[in-house]
Amino acid sequence: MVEHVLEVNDLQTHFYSDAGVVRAVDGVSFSIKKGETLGIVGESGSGKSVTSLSIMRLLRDTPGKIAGGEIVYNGRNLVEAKESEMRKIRGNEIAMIFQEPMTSLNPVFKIGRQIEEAILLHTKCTKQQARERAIEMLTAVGISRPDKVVDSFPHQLSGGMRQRVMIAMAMSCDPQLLIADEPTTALDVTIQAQILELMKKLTVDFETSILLITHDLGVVAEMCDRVVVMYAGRAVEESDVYTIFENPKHPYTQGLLASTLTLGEKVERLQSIPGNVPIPSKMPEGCKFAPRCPHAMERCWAEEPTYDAYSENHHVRCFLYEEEAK
Amino acid sequence: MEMTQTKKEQYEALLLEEETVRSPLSEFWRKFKKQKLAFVSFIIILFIFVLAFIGPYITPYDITEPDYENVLSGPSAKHWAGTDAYGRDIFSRIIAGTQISLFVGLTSVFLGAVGGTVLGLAAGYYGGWVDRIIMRICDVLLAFPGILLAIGIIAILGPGLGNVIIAVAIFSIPVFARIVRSSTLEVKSTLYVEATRSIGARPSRIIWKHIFPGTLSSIIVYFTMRIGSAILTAASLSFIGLGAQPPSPEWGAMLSGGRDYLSMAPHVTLFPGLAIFITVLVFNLLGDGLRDALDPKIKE
Amino acid sequence: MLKFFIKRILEVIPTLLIVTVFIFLFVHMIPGDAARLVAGEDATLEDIKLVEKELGLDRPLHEQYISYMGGLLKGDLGTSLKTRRPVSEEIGARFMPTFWLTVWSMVWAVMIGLIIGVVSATKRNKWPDYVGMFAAVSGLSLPSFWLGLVLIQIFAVQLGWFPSGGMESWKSYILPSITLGTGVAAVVARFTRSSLMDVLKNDYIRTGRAKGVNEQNIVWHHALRNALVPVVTMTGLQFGFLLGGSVVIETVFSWPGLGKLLIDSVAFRDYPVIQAEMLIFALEFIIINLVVDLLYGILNPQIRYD
Repeated sequence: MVEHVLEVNDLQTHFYSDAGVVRAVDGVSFSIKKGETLGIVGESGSGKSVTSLSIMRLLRDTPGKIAGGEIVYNGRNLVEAKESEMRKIRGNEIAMIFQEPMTSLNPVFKIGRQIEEAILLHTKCTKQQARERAIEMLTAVGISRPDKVVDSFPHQLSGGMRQRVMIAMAMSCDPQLLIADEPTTALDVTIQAQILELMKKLTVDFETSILLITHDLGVVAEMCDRVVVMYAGRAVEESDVYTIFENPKHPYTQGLLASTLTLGEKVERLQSIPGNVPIPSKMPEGCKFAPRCPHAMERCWAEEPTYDAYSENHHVRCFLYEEEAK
Repeated sequence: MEMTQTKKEQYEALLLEEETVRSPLSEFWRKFKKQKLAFVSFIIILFIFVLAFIGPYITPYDITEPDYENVLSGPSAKHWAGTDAYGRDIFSRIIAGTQISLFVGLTSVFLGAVGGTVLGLAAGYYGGWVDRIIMRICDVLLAFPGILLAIGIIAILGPGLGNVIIAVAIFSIPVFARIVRSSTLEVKSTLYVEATRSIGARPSRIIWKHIFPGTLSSIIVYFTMRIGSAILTAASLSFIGLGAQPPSPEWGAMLSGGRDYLSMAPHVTLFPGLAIFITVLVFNLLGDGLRDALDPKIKE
Repeated sequence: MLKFFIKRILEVIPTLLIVTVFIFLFVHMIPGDAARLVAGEDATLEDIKLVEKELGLDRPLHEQYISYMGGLLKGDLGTSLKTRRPVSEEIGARFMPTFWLTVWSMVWAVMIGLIIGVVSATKRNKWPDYVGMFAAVSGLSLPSFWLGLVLIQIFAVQLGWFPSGGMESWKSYILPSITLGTGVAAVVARFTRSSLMDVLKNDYIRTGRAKGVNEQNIVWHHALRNALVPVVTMTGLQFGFLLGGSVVIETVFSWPGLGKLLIDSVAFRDYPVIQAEMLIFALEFIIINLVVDLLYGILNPQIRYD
């Protein structure tokens, strides 16, 4: 058996409001091996960010709650972990970087202090050692004059610099898993490539596994070993990156690929797939992709397909491949 | 019919279903009803209004006639809130005083709002030196903190309730002017005003038809919130002897009259103060509720 | 930073000048003949002339202003019509009692306001929030002079814990400070709550949590530091509320301060004293707001380093 850093089994995260329950994540499963980079791809509203927040158990600012399933990190089910245990894991064993580098750093604290805070929280060291470690990390993420940047405030740095700082902060406690939620979406194309390059280098140097959340297939091709495609809260296809690009099965994956061909192109709406992700109050009854699917059959409207293994490392949720999967 | 419909057709029908579209007024009403405290306050305010109109006709006792048999007697079945130093029924005087406080509060804020709105619209719309002069005047008015500006104005005009109204109105002007100015700037920058201007409409028409309605909701919210503090300010001025003069049943003046008997007859000050407190409180609660229901900036 | 400081200080000067013009014109805005009004109803023509001379009304307007400003710069605020003593003396003795009263009121009001605001924001839509916010709106609606009288009735008359008026010991400060500060505490609480709730929605708060920072630390360090920036500005404006409120409260507690003097002077139409008082209050308010502005620059690194 291969050792998995993280295993997500049938995760259910639901949003509760006056209007009713929205199943933002509805039965998502995947696993990440040590040193592996797994991509989760999908349009906005597909539940990919909610999945990452669920793993970190950072849903408190949303109306969401984990309603079922398991998140197993190194043999421990995080769904059942206490908040105090989660605090020891966050930033230490599982770190996270976010989409908006411009707003993700606290504007009133110096850069150094923000990195040192994570180090001081999770390792036994003096303030001086933490500061040295912070400078070391800033150097590692390719910031020139790190001794000057530690004493800067966030507004004095550019977006690309801030994302490097975020990465330095995330990597400062040597995490086993780094969750990157659209880390390059808000950046210029040239900066994007640099940041991706940096993340790749760090995973090799530090042997960190990465969970990369993105809507950009170019980023996936560049970074990932394996890919999970999400649609309307469900995983619809999973395989290694070559299979996904060479031999996509699910009509949604096929549509995604057809709509984006060049690296770094931003795809906010898919040209070749008509329509939009269904809004929660108007979810179709059967397959959630049926309204936009060129191959939709009568059956697709009535019942939802299961997530089956098409081959050993290829899962698909579609009736078209039901026969072959069995 | 329904039976033969395929699942696909059902879904397409579902998509076509219109989301219920609410008019701004019903949307406001829906949100406002959720603010229970504000709703209750609104009903109490209606009651206060009724009391203001019919108050003087329904008082159980005469409010000016002294009754030397019953000087400073405590609350009883006969005199619910006791009597004052002249033996007058305090409960009756509070009822009769309702219209004074309400009138002073409403008129002064209304005058201040009108003045401030005109100045704010002008400053925001014309910009340039008009804006600079108006805002400088506001700065200077605001440099006299709180009630001091009102005291200064009364020092010029002399004590009395009429002058209190003028003083409180003037002291509300700069605050309204600033708020209206900033929302005018906001509305001005939106596209439809640009469009109207390029058609060649007259400035007065643009201000009145397009900018003023856009600022109305902040004016309403602020108007309501300001009434409470205007009533407080007016009562304070009467309390220090610059506003309503005895034997007026103005609440602040009643309190002032009761000060000398504080240790013997605390009820003389207690009940008028309670009346001020409750009146101001319901206006403030209503203002809070209106803000939450009307002002999209404060909405989650 | 220095540039910001100098800019703000320079900006205050025109306001200050206009304020002096305003206060100078004060006596001239009195409808009718000010001198006749001051001299009294059965004053002789000579009496009126005398008052006119005393108020400087017999000279051309610009000359009057220049001599007024000249006097101001020398610290000469005129002579009280009532006591015939220099106004600067009258006011000098009464400045500190009012100053300390407002400062202590501010100190406790900000402390209580911050605590209520933070608790309400973190327990939003739970009972501590409802209790805190109802207390705040009540505090805002209390007539301060009535609150003062009720406190005197309970703590001075009934229990005898504190004096009911005057300024003898530290005990004398307690009741007036509570009375004066209540409204400000309410405003600070409401403002802190909404400011903190806004800040808690920010991305950097999520970053802090993702680092493993505990909730208390998130609220009191990461969030409050940011939330304080607008709260500080607002607190400066509230100082005006306190200065104004002190006028009323000093009457209730027989406090030997500027406020009581002002009201006595208004009743006596002692215009030189009224003018000087208005000037002092406006000056104090402008200076406090300037200090707050500079403090804002220190709290907000974006201003500090630009």
